[in-house]
Amino acid sequence: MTPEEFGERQADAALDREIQMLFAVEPSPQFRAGVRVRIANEPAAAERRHLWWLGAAAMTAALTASVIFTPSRPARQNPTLTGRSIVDLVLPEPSTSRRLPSDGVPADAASPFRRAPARPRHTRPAEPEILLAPDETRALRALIAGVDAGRIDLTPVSQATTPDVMELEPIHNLVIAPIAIAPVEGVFP
Amino acid sequence: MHGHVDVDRLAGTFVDEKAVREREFEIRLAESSTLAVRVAYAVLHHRQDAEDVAQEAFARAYRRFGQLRDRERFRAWLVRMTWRLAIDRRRSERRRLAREGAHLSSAAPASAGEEAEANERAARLWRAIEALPEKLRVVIVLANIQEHDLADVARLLDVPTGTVKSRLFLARQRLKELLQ
Repeated sequence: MTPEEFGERQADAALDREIQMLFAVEPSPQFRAGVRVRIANEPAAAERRHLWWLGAAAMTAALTASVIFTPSRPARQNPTLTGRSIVDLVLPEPSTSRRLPSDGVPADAASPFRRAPARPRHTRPAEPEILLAPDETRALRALIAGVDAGRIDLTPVSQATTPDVMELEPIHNLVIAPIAIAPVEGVFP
Repeated sequence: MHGHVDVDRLAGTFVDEKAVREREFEIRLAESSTLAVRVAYAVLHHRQDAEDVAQEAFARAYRRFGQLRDRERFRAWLVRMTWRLAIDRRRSERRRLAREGAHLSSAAPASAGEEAEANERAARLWRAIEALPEKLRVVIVLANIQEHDLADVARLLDVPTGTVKSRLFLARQRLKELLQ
């Protein structure tokens, strides 16, 4: 061993002694009792942890149930569609001030008060919408208005009956003339 | 009688098993308390906090004692867990002190003569150890508590002995540089 190596080892040993002195702490006499106390308190802590999980699970279940079982409102029609729903035809017409203009934006859209809450985009309608063509919508609306005003009487229509089986005359003298097809000239050689 | 289960005997077996387990844990606790407290102390520099962290590590070890009954495995797991808990504690303590506007200081209170000089030297050593990268720091700590040799440290860290040797060399070199 060279003197340099010996000196190096001495320096390392001195450093190690210093570090050992730095870390030379002993557990207190109460240390082991403290560990036992912690272990004894563990079941209570574990129970509290389980209770917390139980509470969280119950809350999640309640939220899920409320989302699933809350009846969804029938979907309002998209104002940009050209057709109208049969539901809208049967329901009373909204008041003039609430009617949608042709651009589909409510007249009071700028008002900060009583704005309709935004509905989630993915709400499924309770019943499928039946879309009608605009001319059919107009015709139906005119019919309903006419009935309401008493201009159109639907009583005969409602009382009209259709025979279950139509009685048809038997066909005896049915003659079908033979069909003669003349060959097309010039097509075949 | 055929198929009859002796409930008392079965219960007795469980009680015996539990008692054996408790005894084994008590032995581990007795032989590894100093190790855990010193590991935590090397990180925290505070005796009370170090004991608190070491007790927490033992409580966790008890919960997993079924998998840690082997002595070497237990000690290695305990060192890792204590180190991790101590690092976490120190981080949260630093955050708390930063919030309160205080500063961590490892400097000992000033005193007269040789004692003051020794305290100053110890504070410098603490700072130098703190400045080491974690891989080197844990090696120098484990090598200097309870007179662990290289093989002991290698087992505790689950790394090859050669790795411990080179890390220890590097750690000493760095410390000497820092202390000059």
